[in-house]
Order: sequence, then structure tokens, then C-alpha cells
Amino acid sequence: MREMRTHDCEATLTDSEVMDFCREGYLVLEAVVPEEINKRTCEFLLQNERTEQLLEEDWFVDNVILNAQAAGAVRSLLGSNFKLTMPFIFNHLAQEPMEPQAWHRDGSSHYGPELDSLQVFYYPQDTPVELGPTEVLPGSHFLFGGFSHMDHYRNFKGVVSTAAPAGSIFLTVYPVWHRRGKATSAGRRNLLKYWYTRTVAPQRDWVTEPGLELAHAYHRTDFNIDHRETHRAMDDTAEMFYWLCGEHEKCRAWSNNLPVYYYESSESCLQCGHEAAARKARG
Amino acid sequence: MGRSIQQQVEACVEAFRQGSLTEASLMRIGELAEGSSKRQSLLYLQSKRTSITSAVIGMSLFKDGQFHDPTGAEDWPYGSVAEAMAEQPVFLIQRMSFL
Repeated sequence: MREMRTHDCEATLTDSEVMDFCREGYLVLEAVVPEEINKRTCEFLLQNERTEQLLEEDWFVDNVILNAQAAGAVRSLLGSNFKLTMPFIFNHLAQEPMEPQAWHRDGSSHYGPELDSLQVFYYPQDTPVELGPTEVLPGSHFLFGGFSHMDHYRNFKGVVSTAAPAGSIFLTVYPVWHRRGKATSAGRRNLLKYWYTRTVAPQRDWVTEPGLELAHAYHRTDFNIDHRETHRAMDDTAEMFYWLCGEHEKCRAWSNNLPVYYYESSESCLQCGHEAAARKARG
Repeated sequence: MGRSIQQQVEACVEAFRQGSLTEASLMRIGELAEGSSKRQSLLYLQSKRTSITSAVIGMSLFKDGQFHDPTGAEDWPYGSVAEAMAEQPVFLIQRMSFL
């Protein structure tokens, strides 16, 4: 068995993409794993009950766990030398039509701006809605919900299906609400689940956008999240972005406890023209 | 699944028009009504705010012994708690959105 190891590579996400991830709580990378690797993975899972043995296979580790596009996104969010949580990898196998799973967030979830780990899912086969792909409630990684108090929920507005072609990988913030969707047809659905963790302090070392002020994380107008109060969603998303930038202490105004969105911007935001200072001056 | 009360009434009206209405058909309406009154349904609605006119953002309907899940929010039968109350006497639990 391989030991836990770290990996480094170029970060690939931009400021805007990191902000999107903070807001949505997940990122889908469609069909990034080569088809021959997908087929080989499916065959391996048919012949081996011990999924963790995949981690002893270089062809799997190099093309899936260290897949260039996925690793670039992980590097962006968790920093350099992120850790692979070997030997932990599980296959959530479904084969028959079945009712949807209960909505849940996984055990030991914590809620806050810190992003020290990522939960990752990989579909080695085409996974249309008929096979019951995972469903995600965007923005729910900031919703505190005790597992035993979530069981009556079934249908939410804004739910996103992760139905995707073979070779798709999606990254999630660990506490995001999710479930296996309703499967209406028979067929083998492999869903490999594994994790990455942070080894270094957060800093803004992904693909930065020139002129972007951190406060722009508060300015965005696309916080169309029905399940939360808009400003709480804005504040939490911006706070996570500040934390990832290594600037967590700056996300609140120095003179009070309000988000800097309200007070501490000296000039118009170059990204969106937001004028916090002018608004403050007008009172 | 058997006929609903409305379906049985419609069948009786049709039978009446054709001159084939029977006492048993009429009695069946009573049986269905009695059974209906014993059966309970449960409608969960999550609304964006606490007003009963606020938009529905989540729902779950348990009726006739099973869940009825529409495929997407665009297919939900009610846009607000008030709309649901106007349509049928079901148990309603309104859940405000999370903080």
C-alpha cells in the first residue's frame, strides 16, 4: 500500500473561479480523465472488491488522483504540496432502480470559512440522470443542519445534478448537502470518493486577476441562493475567499464588526465599479 | 390504485345518463368518502420567508401511502403556502429558510 504523499503542480483556477467555488461549494470538471483509464477503472472495480487497491496502480494514481486538471484545481484551493488521503478511497456502487437517498452532509462536518480539505468524486462511466448521479444543493456548505433533522427534506429548489460523461471529477467542500439521486434504470454506477488535505497556510497563489480587490468578493450580484438570507450568503462566501487568500483578518472592518463591504474600500472596485467609499461619504 | 371519490361520482353520472346507475355504485361513493377521511396526507413546504405568501423553496408530499416527487421545481404544484392551502385540506408544515 502506498503511504500518504503530497503533490505539487501549477494552480489553474482564477480569482473568479475560486470565488465561484466558495459560493457554490462544488466544482465539476467534465470528462477530464482519458477514456482508456475510465474503462480500465471500471474493469478493475468489477474484478476487485477492495477498492483501495486502485491506489497501488500507477496508471490510476497518475491519471485520476493526480489528473492534471483536477490537481490544478486542488492546488488552487489547498495550496502547494497538498496531501492525498491514501489509503482512503471508496466506491459508492449503485446498480438497480431505487429511490433517492436522504439529503445529508457527511459525518464530522464543520461549518466556517476554513477550507483545509476537499472531498472528491469521480465517475469512471457515463452517468446520466437515469443512473441516479449525486445531487448537490449549491451554497449548502454554509448551512448548519444536523443529520437527524434533515431526513424530511426531499425536493429543494436549485438542486444541481452531477450527471456527467465518463471521466468527470467533481470537487466539493466537505459539508455540502448532497444525496444519491433517484435511479430509474438498472446499470452499474461506480462513484469513487476520496479526499485531499492542506499542508500549508492559505495564500492567494492561484491565477490572480489584475486589479481585483478582495472586497469584490462582497460585491458580486450573483448570490441568488434561495435557502439563505442573501447577505449571510454574501458574507460567508466572501469570508471563505478572504481566508483562502490568507487575509481572513481583513474581511471585517477594523473599527466595527461589519463586513468591509460596507466601509473600507478607498476607491471604486475595478472589477465592478462598486463604490463603498462614496456610499459611506453620502451616509 | 382504486378510483378517487371524484372519479366514482363521474362514473355514476355517466351511468345515470345511460340508465345503468346502480345502488352499489352510489354506495361506493360513501365507502370512498369514509376511507378518505381516515387517510392522512402530509405536505411539507419550505418557504423562503415566514409569510404564507412567500415563495416555496422546498417541498415533499406524502399521500396515499407514498411520496410524490415532482421532477423539478418548475413542476411543483404550489408556488406558496397560501396556494397550497387554497387547493386542498392537507396537513401543512411551513419551514422558514435557514440562516
